[in-house]
Amino acid sequence: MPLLLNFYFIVVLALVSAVFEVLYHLAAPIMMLVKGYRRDDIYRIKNAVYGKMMVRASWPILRVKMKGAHRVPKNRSCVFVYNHPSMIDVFFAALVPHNNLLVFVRSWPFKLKLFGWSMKLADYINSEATTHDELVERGVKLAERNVSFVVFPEGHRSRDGKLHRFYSGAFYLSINTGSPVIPVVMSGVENFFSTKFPFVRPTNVTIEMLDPVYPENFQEGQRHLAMRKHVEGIYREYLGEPL
Amino acid sequence: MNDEMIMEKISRILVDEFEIEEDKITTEATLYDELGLDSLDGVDLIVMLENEFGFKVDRKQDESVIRAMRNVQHIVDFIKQKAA
Repeated sequence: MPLLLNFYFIVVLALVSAVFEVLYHLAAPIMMLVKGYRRDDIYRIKNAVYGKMMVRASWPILRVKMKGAHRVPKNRSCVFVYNHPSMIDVFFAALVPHNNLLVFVRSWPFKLKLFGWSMKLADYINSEATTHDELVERGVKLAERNVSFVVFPEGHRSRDGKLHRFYSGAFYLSINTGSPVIPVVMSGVENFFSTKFPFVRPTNVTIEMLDPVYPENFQEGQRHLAMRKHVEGIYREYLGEPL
Repeated sequence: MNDEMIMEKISRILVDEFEIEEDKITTEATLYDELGLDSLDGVDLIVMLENEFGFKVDRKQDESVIRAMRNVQHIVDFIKQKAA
């Protein structure tokens, strides 16, 4: 059974990926020329739709339960923050009800052949090579165009299953763009994928979007630090981890 | 204020504000690699040091010193220099 499930998973996802990538790259220049869409917008939406498709195509191996989508403000930029329990979280990150998502990525994924290329076309932010001034400058312009942001504030995947300390970048961006932070809690994802055979296991994943945290509710001064502590506290309480 | 007292205050800030494990904080510990701070943490840390030690950092004048800070001992030296 594990062999069959893994075979199904690899074949289906390879087919979905190949067909989707080819069709989208053919359609992108047409959308730019005919509709006047921007290249980065097109590829950000493409990556989000691809992530959604990959997760949905993984059914029934992967059963995802989404909660709290009604809490997410529509038609405005948001900063989605996620805990980071597995190496494939970026696919699940795409399940939020926004599509023009700009992801903060560390340096190494940009070096991957296909994914790295896709990230560059979508103008994703290299979090290790971007100063906070550059971050704000880009973030403000993008937020005005209703682009939302995807940030893993722990900075890297949790290898011990525990929540690690949050970095401040997401909250600094929220303060400076006025975009609310949406805490998104993922659970069960860590059981899905393994680097050894069997690569995937039938897994139930729950993704819950919690109430937005608005930057204007924090006092003057180092507001991003207060906001960071507040949001980290929300996660710790939700996951039952000590403050 | 001696080195030990300065170190104690720095440790408290690093533990309370940046959630760094206390046993990782030594004078030789590097800020970015071993303690895991990022550039924004560095700016926040400077503001906290200003508040804690009551000095004012001139962003332009002190920029080269701040940029050269690599480990906790460099922070101790910087505070002693500002307090002198």
